[in-house]
Amino acid sequence: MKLKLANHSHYPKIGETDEQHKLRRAYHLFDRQKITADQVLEAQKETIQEVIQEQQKAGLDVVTDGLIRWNDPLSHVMKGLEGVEIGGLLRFFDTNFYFRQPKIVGPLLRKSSLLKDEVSFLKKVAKGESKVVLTGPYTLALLSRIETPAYKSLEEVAEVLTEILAEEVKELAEARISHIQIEEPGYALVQPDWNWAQKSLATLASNKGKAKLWLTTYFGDAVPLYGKLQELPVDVVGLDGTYSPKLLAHIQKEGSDKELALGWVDGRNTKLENSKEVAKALHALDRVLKDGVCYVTTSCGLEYLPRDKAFKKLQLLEDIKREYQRGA
Amino acid sequence: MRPSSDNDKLKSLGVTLPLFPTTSVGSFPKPDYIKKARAKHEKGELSGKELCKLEEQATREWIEFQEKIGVDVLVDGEMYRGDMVAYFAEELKGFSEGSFVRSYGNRYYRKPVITGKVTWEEPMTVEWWKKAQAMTKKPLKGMLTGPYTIMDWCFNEYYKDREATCMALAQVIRKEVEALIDAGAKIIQVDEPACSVRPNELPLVIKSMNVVTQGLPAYFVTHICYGDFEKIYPEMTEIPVENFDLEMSNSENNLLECFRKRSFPKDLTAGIVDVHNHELESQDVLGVRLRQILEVVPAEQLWIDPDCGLKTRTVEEAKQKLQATVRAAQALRKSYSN
Repeated sequence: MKLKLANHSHYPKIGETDEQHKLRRAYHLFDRQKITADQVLEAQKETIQEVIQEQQKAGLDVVTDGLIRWNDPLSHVMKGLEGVEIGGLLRFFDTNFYFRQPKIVGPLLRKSSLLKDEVSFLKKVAKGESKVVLTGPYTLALLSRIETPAYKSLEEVAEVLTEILAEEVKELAEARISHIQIEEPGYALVQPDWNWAQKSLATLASNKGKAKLWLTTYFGDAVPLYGKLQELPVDVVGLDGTYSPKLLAHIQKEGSDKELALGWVDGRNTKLENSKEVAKALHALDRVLKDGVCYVTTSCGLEYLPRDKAFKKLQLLEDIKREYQRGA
Repeated sequence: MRPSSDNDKLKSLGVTLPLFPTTSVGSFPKPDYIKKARAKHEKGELSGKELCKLEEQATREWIEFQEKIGVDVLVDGEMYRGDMVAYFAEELKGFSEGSFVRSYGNRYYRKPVITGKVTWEEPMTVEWWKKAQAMTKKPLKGMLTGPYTIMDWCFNEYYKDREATCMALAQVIRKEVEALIDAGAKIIQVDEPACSVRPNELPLVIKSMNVVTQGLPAYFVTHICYGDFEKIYPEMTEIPVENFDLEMSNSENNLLECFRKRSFPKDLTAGIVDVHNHELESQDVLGVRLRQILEVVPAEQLWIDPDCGLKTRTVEEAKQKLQATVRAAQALRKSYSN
């Protein structure tokens, strides 16, 4: 099988050096009305360029912009919609990271493109394949608070969000983004109605053009979901291996009709995995995944780690690929 | 005086409090001179002794402020601490200093790394508790971070799994609790804000807190915030403490829905001001929040404070928010005495 290295999604915004603190400083000064929004944007752009360079230096085949402009996976997508107010802080799954919970207070409407500016900058600075991340409609609905009679259920909200995100997917395809990752960690928290999920992903996939559509779950055992995920109309299924001790054996047994993105490298702990052991696990899948592409990634986005450790995890991906090829 | 409820333990410890006791979650913002002094100390331009003197000055200022506005159970404000987990990681053996990790918005903390066996060699908070308690006649809380939260908020490169890490930490936090009690602390807060993170691990939170508090003569409080309480209530009340200090205003008193279904069985310290917002809540807003809480929580069980540590605010904002909290409690007390 052919291994490709991909950044999962987000990446630390600051590091240890004074230079790597510029974005934090910029937000701080903006908060005190000492610099303009344009100056913040400039700091964001510089940081995005740096994190893309780090990914390229680590030998990644598929890079992201590190989601540097995002405050969190919920409010960044939802704040641009009519019918949404951004509320209080809530813990994001089982992490020590907090998101501002969107409150749905009226009919949802996409007023304009949600990611256009950041995507055009990514296209400008990333050479080669790049991936854009969108939090999926189910997770957005699941973690929002519905405070309007306009919607009676989570499913209704998720359905409208699917339509909205389908427009976004269309724009990404038109911008020739090569990989579009729909993130649905909510699937592992509360399993969706799989018929609904089928329709939702089909709607998104119908607008993907030539882009590869990824569906990524994390922060939960992927084994109980695996069969259902395989049936969904996406090109790549992304899995978090750190919650699933039986995932390797399960994939060996069940095989895969899709390309897989495998996250056995823990994106939430600094301890570096043994590259030989991960390469061995990947070889165990040679027989079932055959000549297909397998993306090697971390279990989740890397912003849960300090910047220097995040970079080491990316370098580890390259070590794994090297070990894998050595043992081929 | 407070009617009797679950405060028999307080009485037996010789602590008498008014109805609706007011307190704080723990941290206060550091004045500029402390921030500058800490930066100088890091660069080696200020000695530890000089820094400590300034931290004592800042502690005294916060104690005086709390006394002036009428807080009932004081805190030292943690002028000498950085982060609630990093501080203990710096003091205990077995940790390495971590680098910056974002918690939300533009806020970062240094997430420590467990790289060896965690051991307690000497008290970490007792000298500061003694200094601060000597500055006031009112009770001062001993302030610790719980084993589950330290485990969850550190990287682990040593122990085989989460349970082994958590239980090792429980042993060392108990030693600190014992040292605080030996020094005279009667009310000890052991914060477990991470306790709702993995509902399936709530038994581990309970088990480890049991190691920390079992059989010890103190009134125990735990602070929990920004979690998915619906998933762990009412089981979370089995955590062996007398008082749960919960963030309520950030979630617009949503927690009360849980308490309506199953009454809250212990003392509750309700957070009534948002610590992540510059805006100062009016007395009317706080009055409404308190009345809503009192619809479901008996008066004799209720303590009042801000949602969380006030260190996220400027000194001025923190003072205003704390003062507003105390005023609201005093107004309520007055209405109950009439």
